[in-house]
Amino acid sequence: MKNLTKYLVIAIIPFLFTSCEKSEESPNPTINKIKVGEAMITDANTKLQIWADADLNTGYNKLYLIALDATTNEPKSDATFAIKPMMTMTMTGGMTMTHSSPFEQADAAAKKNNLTPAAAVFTMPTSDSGFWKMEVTLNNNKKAIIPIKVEESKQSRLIMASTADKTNYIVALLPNPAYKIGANDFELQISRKIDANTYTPVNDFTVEMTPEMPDMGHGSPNNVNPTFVANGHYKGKVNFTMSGYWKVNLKIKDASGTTIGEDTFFKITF
Amino acid sequence: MEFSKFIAIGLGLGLLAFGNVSAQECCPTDSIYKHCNLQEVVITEKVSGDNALLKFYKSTKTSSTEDVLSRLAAVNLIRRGNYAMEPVIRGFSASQIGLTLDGIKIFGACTDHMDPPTSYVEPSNLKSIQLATSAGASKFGSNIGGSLNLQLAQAQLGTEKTVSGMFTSSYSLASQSTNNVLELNYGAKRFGIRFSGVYRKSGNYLANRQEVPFTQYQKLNFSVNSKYMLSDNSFLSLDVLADDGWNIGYAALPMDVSSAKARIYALSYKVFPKNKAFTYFETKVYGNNIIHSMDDTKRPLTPMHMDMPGWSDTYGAYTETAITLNSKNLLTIRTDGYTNLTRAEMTMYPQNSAPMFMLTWPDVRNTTIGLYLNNDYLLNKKFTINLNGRLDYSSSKITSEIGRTQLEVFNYKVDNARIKLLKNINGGTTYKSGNFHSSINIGYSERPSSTNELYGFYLFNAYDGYDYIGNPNIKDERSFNMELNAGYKTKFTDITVALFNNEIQNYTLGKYHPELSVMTIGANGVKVYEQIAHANLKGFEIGLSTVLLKNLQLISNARYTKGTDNDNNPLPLISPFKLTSSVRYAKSKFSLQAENIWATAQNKVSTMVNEKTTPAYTLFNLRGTYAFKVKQNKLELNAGVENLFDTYYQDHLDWGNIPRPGRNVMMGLSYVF
Ligand SMILES: [Cu+2]
Ligand SMILES: [Cu+2]
Repeated sequence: MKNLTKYLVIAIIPFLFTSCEKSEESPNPTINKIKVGEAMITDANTKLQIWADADLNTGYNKLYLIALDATTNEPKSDATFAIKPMMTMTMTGGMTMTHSSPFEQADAAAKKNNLTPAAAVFTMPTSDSGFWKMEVTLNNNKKAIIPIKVEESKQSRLIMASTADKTNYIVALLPNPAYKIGANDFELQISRKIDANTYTPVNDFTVEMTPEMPDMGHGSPNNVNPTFVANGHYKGKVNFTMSGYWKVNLKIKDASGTTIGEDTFFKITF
Repeated sequence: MEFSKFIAIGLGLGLLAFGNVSAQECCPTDSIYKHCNLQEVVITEKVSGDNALLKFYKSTKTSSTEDVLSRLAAVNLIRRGNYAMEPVIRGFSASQIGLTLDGIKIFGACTDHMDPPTSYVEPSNLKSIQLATSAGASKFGSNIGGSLNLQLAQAQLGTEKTVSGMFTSSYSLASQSTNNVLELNYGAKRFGIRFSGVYRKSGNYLANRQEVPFTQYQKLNFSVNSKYMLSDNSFLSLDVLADDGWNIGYAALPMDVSSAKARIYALSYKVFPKNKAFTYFETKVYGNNIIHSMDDTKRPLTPMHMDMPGWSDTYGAYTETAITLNSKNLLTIRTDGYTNLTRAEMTMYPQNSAPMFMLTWPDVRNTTIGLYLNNDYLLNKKFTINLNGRLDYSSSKITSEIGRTQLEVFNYKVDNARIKLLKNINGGTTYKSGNFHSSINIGYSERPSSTNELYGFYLFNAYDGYDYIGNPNIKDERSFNMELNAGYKTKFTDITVALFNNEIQNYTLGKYHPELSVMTIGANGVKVYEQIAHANLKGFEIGLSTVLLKNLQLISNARYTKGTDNDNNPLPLISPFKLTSSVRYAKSKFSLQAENIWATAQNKVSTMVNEKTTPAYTLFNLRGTYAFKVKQNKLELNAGVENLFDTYYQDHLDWGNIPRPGRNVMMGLSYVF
């Protein structure tokens, strides 16, 4: 029996090593990420790339920007970025109009592995009559327009809500690729629409969360309501007692206690 | 790792014992225990007249193990269907009591207690029932309410006829059920093998001439014991038992069972050393695998289809020896250990969305190693002093990530194993003078908390209609026990009286939490296991066995238990006063047995679990056999009427509002060769 244990330990050792290698020294900064857009800035001999954790979906998407030397394909470690998502829509009658969406500006301070993080909350998917592009400004002077494709999210990740005075809010659920039975991180990003091109994060709301399983009519205990952390982000914990389809009901109130939107919820299936 | 540790201890002890074996004659005749017969050894336990009772009821070839168990004065049965009833000893049940098969630990794979280990034994493979209530109750494991060890029948060696056996087939009208039993024994001089096979099939039974739905079942039970005589005082024995039940209705529950499978196997070595000091030495390794699948597809009003399979695998070993320290002192040592892994799942299938899944038992591993010591000291011709105790090291751990994260929902921290030392100690004295005997026993015991109580996840309890949540932070239940016994025994009469009182601390029960939402559609609410400071179970049993006339014997027993909680409110599932009386007339080829069972009403009910009162009932059963010789063999006709007057009744321990079977006529034929 002791021998058996010994062999087991020996057998496990190689696995321990392989798993260490993976997590510590990633040779490729974009491993596990997907390239969602690319453009050349010829006069700077630079390739601009946008990466993401998954295909772009309506809702909140984390983005990663990188600039590469077009000849050597080596990352340019001193590159800085500024982004702005734009959608062009063709209206009935052939007229076009453009609008932006809430986004989080590229943060040079948070650059890691030559990838500069940013985020965008896409409010609608790419369609026959509307397409998204990302305006990226490199080093404060060179601009590139990168076409990107946004698909309709399979999970509900976006709530458009408004108040009686017609102020519009966009509530986005940060994606969680691994929901589990148990306690799950639940993070929202809330923005106020100023006009079609301007959105600001909202920092003074309160959120009450009640998950339920509509097929069975039950909820779950000990949930932690999302509370404000920074930049329009609200963090909480949602508890799922089983896998399947959950409806996470939200009651969002502004600083004066007025409820934003009616029947606001996210549907989560895992 | 833990497993290998206790195996090592077991083997270590084994070697130690071997070391002391020297060639001497067997059997110290002056000892208070006599172990001369190598074939049939009485284990050093105070088993009262129970086996007389067993013989008495087993003689009717149509009875089930439960029929026999229910006649023991200290045992009642919880009934959820017409199958696999759960034993209750003096008001204690489930993990409060110990249930073993030949010392083998078996844990059910059903979260709803639909598969107690007693359901794997048929009268055809049952040798004896060892019921222990105070003295020796912890021999097979920690418990606070007593233990039942069912000994399996063994192969007979050196039999008169090399091959012998029996075939029985019987039929019951009310449930259109058949019971077919085949027993075969091959007994060579040094080697024997015994086989028993049972096939039972039952339709729904009738009560008040109406069919009671979901009381059907089918089962197949195979049991093989082979025994090899290594030397004239040592044996190797292998047991393999397979029990398959299917299409089993559980009328009192919202679900039935589509399949219940048990595989039980054990290898043991037993020696009766030719050494004055060692009475016997036995070591056994065993394993069992239980799979249980519940089924709601036949229920008409199921809101949503559900699958609820469960698994339980146990592996263990024990070593036991009895040492005669001197002519007055006998010491029994037993070391044992087991490891058990249970998992139960629930998957629900809604019409238009994804299946919903959770673990109702989150991959729980229980590992226990223990030491049991028993010393019998013969003070003088009249007094014997007995002292015994057990110490168990018990660990429970959730082994899977999903199991651990699931319990985060209740903010339970279960990353580390729950480790407990369980202590059981019991002391007593027996006085014997002439025909009179009496004893007093005082004990303290602790039991391990069950998987349901610790980690159960939204387990629906059909008894009170609540979903139950485990609580890994509960303490272990413990009890102070006292038992007084007195008896008078002559050649013709045997009277026994037992009085018992159990003071239970940390009594575990579910407490309603209105803030939690139910998982089971239609449940009354959610309860979480908690403990109340104390509860009490007390009562008495009276047994009488007497020869009334030549050929006419009376066996009767009365039982009563009273259970109260902290606030003097009644405890649930306590059997009322019950009197069972049988008379048996036997003359050469013919025997007739008439039985009356009388239970008073139970009006002391627990409002906390919505328990209902149960009216009194009285029942009459009649059984007869006629045996005649066919050449060298015996043919036996059995006939019986159960519930002669077609009484419509329910026992207090029956779940739901389900009536017991009405009048049932049965006939059977046995051929013994
Ligand atoms: Cu559910
Ligand atoms: Cu079950």
